[in-house]
Amino acid sequence: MNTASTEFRKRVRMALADDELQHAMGRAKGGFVLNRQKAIAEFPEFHQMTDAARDIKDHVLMNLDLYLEIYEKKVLENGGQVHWARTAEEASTIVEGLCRRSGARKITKGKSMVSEEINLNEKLEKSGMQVIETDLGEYIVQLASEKPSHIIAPAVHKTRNQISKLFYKHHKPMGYADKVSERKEIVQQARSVLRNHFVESDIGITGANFLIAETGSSVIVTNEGNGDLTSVLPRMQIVVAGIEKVIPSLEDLSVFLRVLARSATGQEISAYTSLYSGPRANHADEEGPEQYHVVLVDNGRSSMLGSEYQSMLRCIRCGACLNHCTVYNVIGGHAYGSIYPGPMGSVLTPLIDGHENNTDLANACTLNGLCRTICPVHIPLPDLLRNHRTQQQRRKLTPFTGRFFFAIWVYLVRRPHFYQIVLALPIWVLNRVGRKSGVIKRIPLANGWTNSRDFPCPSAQTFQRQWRAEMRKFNA
Amino acid sequence: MLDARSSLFAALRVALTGGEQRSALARSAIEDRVHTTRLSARPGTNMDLVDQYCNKHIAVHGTVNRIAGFHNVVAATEEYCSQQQLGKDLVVGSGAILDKVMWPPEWSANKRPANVSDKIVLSEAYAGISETGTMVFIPKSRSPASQIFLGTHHIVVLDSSLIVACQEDLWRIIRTDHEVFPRAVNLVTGPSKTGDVEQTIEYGAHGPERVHLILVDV
Ligand code: SF4
Repeated sequence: MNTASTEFRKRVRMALADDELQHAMGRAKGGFVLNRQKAIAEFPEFHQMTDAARDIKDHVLMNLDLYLEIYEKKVLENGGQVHWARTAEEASTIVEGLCRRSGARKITKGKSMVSEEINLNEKLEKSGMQVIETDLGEYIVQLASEKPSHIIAPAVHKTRNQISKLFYKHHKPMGYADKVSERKEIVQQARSVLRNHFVESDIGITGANFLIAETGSSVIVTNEGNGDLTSVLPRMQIVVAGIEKVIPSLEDLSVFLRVLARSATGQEISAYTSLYSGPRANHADEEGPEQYHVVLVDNGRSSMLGSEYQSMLRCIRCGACLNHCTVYNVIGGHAYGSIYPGPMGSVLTPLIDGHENNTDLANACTLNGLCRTICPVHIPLPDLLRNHRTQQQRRKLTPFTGRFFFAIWVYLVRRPHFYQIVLALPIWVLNRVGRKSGVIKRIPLANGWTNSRDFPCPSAQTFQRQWRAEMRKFNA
Repeated sequence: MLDARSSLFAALRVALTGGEQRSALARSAIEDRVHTTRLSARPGTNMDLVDQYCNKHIAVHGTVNRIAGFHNVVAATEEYCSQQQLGKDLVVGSGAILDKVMWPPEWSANKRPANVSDKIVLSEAYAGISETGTMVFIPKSRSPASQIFLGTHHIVVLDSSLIVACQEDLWRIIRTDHEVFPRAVNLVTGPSKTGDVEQTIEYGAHGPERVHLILVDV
């Protein structure tokens, strides 16, 4: 078994045994799902809207080169600058260069998954800059020296108690002598600490939920308002975004906004939706950044275009597939070992980071299909995961034992008569064992199944045998 | 070696057209798509726009006071401030209504950008969106973004005739009003909030803790 796989299993085992994590995940589980359901029930046009969202994304992806050119032209007209990055390394180097050349010391950041993808914080800190995450969830995981465990709720795995301890440790030297433990106090303290960072910051870095070709705007959607203070107050604004984020016009934006917040948090719209379109000079404004940069990141995306994985580029990072995933909800985001967890992450990570290190992700899935039905841009996530599995099987990336048993299975199902003969014996045995109680409590070599649930007792004969017998009776 | 931009576009074209350059026709079709307004489904309602607006605003934890005429703005502000025990020191933005308001001498009404320690900020919205109870701001030098995000209490004045049905109507108005699309457009719906501690909503994360709307029938 390769090391990545061993690591994954280890992380899952740790996650399942981690009481605080299980407590936090248990708390979070139902809320998102329920809120989304309520929001959709109140909005009869929702499904029409998701179809429209999918169609817009498909259209843009088929013409992505053209849309990016139009968007770029518009940003330049607005007085902004556009930078192109083929890889994660190129992207973080561009941003680091911009920050270093401008003599920045303190950098505030809005929540951005792409910046996690390109390992931006590490790069900037290595160059001696202070980077401060300003989304409360991101700030918490930054204090804990961790990565986000959910794409829209980065600290969902943390309990209040853990946050309280973290704040005490990090804020006490700043003069906050008392330990805060109530939710309200925690939020107030973060507000107070981060306010000073906002005004002292030299550069603000955010992601973008959408880029609009028509106006050259970057759009950010938040509930806290941190993304806006990050964008507006510093003298330089840097937006880092994947190339798939571009959409045609303002009307298209409205379609996405209507499905995004409902799918993500069950809101009709998030508290703040902001469109930023360049530096202050071009608009004769007295405020806003002096420089406006957009860094567009490929990092594996262009190779998904035109492939069977193209639909994954529709993803608007709403997080609904995580919230609805039976596996994610028990193991949490960190167990996946990648920046993007849950169903969307299990599809995306091997495409960005290669199959070799990520064989288990596509297999840590029950294929119950829920993520497909709730995805607001109709990404067939289970099909894509199945594709991954096929690829791994073909390239012999999965563990030998798994492949060996699969080979036997394939051999058998292709020979129905033989299959029945082979299966009749174990079924008969299982029936003998469990006949009395109706369930089987333990099956040797299959503890993984019986440790946490009972195995229902099969009937004495296979379905096909019974069927044949019935047919004989019927014909006679 | 190709620079990043060229090789990225080359990769895109290989995936999309088998490496062919795009025709002028394809290009202009996409230009057209970007610049022609195409309406998809939009949410319907049979409610009065202003009523729906107020309901939605209240549903996201906002409060409303509807008044007749700009000369009642001071009284409405006073009512809110005394309710909240806030005093009479505030930052005031500008706009068609706020520019006409005369502040009596007991008020200290400062026309300046807000800073981190300002408690009360009064500003005027550019428009309202009935669909979601959203306040729209187009921060210019005279009504800066700091006024939207930094106060603890954000009191917003809005001319009720500027409430539109849905986002699409807003985009239309902005395009008509502005030759060049504004540098910043902020859609604000309710106070700032976070669910990052135990997935339970707390208000006043970084932006205002409370948003109070003074709706003016001009
Ligand atoms: S795959 Fe679909 S459900 Fe999952 S985050 Fe992306 S858009 Fe949302």
